[in-house]
Amino acid sequence: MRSAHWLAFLLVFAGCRFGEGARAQGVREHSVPADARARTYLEAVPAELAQGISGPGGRYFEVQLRTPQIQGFPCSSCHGDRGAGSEVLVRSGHGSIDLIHPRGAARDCRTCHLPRDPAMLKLLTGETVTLDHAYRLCAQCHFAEAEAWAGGGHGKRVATWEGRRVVLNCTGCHNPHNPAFPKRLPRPGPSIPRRSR
Amino acid sequence: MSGADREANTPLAKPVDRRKALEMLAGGLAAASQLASTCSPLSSATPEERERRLLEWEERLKGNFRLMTDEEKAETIERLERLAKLRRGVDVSISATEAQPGVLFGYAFNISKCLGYRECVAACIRENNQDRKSNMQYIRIFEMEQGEIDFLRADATFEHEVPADGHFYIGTQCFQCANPPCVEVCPVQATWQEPDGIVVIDYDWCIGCRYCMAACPYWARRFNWSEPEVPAEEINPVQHYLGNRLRKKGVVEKCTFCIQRTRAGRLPACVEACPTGARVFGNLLDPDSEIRWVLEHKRVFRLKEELGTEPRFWYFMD
Repeated sequence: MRSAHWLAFLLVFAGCRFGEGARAQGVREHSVPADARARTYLEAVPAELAQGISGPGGRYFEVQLRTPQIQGFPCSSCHGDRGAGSEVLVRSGHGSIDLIHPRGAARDCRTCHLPRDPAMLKLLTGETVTLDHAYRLCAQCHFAEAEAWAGGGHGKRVATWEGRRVVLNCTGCHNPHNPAFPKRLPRPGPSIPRRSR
Repeated sequence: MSGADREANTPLAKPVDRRKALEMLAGGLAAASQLASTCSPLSSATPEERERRLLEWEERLKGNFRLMTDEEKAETIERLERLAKLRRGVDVSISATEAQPGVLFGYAFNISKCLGYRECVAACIRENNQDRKSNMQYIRIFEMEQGEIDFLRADATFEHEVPADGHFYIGTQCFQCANPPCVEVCPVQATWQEPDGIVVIDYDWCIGCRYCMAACPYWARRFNWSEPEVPAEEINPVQHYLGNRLRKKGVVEKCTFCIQRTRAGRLPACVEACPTGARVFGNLLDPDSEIRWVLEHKRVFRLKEELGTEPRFWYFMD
C-alpha cells in the first residue's frame, strides 16, 4: 500500500515538476554588457542547441540539448528498428557501457529506454521523452537534486552569469549508466605549502 | 635684479608639485637618453628598443588608476599593449571595463561536491597569467578528514588519487570581503574595492610592502618575489587593467573573480572549469540568480566570520 502511495507521488511529481516551455521564451530581459566582446560569449550556446523549460516556481531557464553531443546518434543508425534488448544483448555492441545504475532489479536497459526505440526515455507515467529531456527521467528519483538544479545549487551553468541562463543536462556531467565521478590524480598542487604539518 | 627676484625666476622656486617635478626631470632624462641613443654612433639600440625605453619612462609617470581621466586610461592601456608586443611579442587586449550598476558579485562553494581534482587551480593559472616559475596559485584546495573543519590538520599539497576515502575538500581564494582589512592597511591606496565588490590592485601603484598580505586573515594574496614568467604562447591575451594583465617583480596580486571575464558577463575560469559543479557564481542583487538560490535554500557559512571581514564567499553542503 505504502509503495503504491510512493508511486502515485512520483507520477505526480514527474508529470508536473518540469513543463517543456516555449523555446527560450519567458527568459527575463537582462542588461547587455557594455563590452562588445561579451556578446560573443553570451551567444556561446546557440539558441537551437538549448531548450527553454519552466522549472519549479515558474523559473524559466534553458537546458543544453544532449542529442547533438552523442556520437552515433540517432541510435537507429546502428540498431535499425530492432530496439534495445536486455543487458546481455546490448553488452555485445556497447562494451563501454558499465551499467551499475540503477541498482538492483531495475538494472536493465529497459528501465529507462524504450525497448523499441532506445533513443526515447520512458517515464513512470508512461510518457516518453527524448534524451534532451533526460532530466525529467532523473528527477523521478533524484527530486531533491532536480530542485537544486532548477534553482542553481546543483549542476553547471554554461558560459555566463547573466543573460540567458543555459544549464547542462544531468547527462552533461554524469554518465547515466555510472553517475559517480571517478577517482583520479589531481592537477598539480602548490610548490610553497602553507600548512602546519 | 635682486637676489630674491633671481631666485624666484629659477624653475625650482615655482610652485611645482612632486609629480610635476618628476615629469620634468624624467622628460629631460628621456629626451637626453633618446638623444644619446639616436645620435651616438656607438649605440646599438634598435628603433624598437628606443620605443620600449620611451614607453617605459612614460609608464613610470602615470598616476593611480582611480585618479586617471578616461584619456589617461586609454593612453596607458595603449602603452601597455604596445609594451607587451615589444617585450614578449604577444598581441594583448587590455580592457578597463567598469563595474555594471546593480551588480554585486557573490560566490558559493559546495563542500559536498568538491572532489579535489584541482581543475579550478589549473584553469586559474592559465586564465590569470600567473607566474609559472614560482608555480603561483590563487586557489588552495584543502583535504580534510570528515567530521570537522580544521585547517590546521588539513593538507593542501595532496598528490594522491582523489577523492580520498573519509575526506572532503574545501577551497579557498580571495573572498572579496565587504570589509577588507587588506585595503585598509595599504599605505599608498594601491588596492581598493570596486562597486561590484571586487577588491583590485593597481600593479603600477603597489610598492610591494606586503602589508595587505599580513592583514589578510585568509592568505589570499600572493607576492612576486621575482619577475613573473609566462611562456609567450601561454599568455592569455584577453586582459583587464585591474586583473590578469602581466605583472612585474615586487608587486602583490590576487584573485579578482576573473574581472576580465565577469565584467564581460562570463563566469570565472574556476567556475567554468569545475567538473563537479561545486562552484556557484552570480549577482547578489539579482533575486533570480543561482547564488541567491543557494543563500536562500542551503545552510551556508563563511570562514572566520567573527573577524567581521564579511566575505562575499559562502560555503554550503548538500
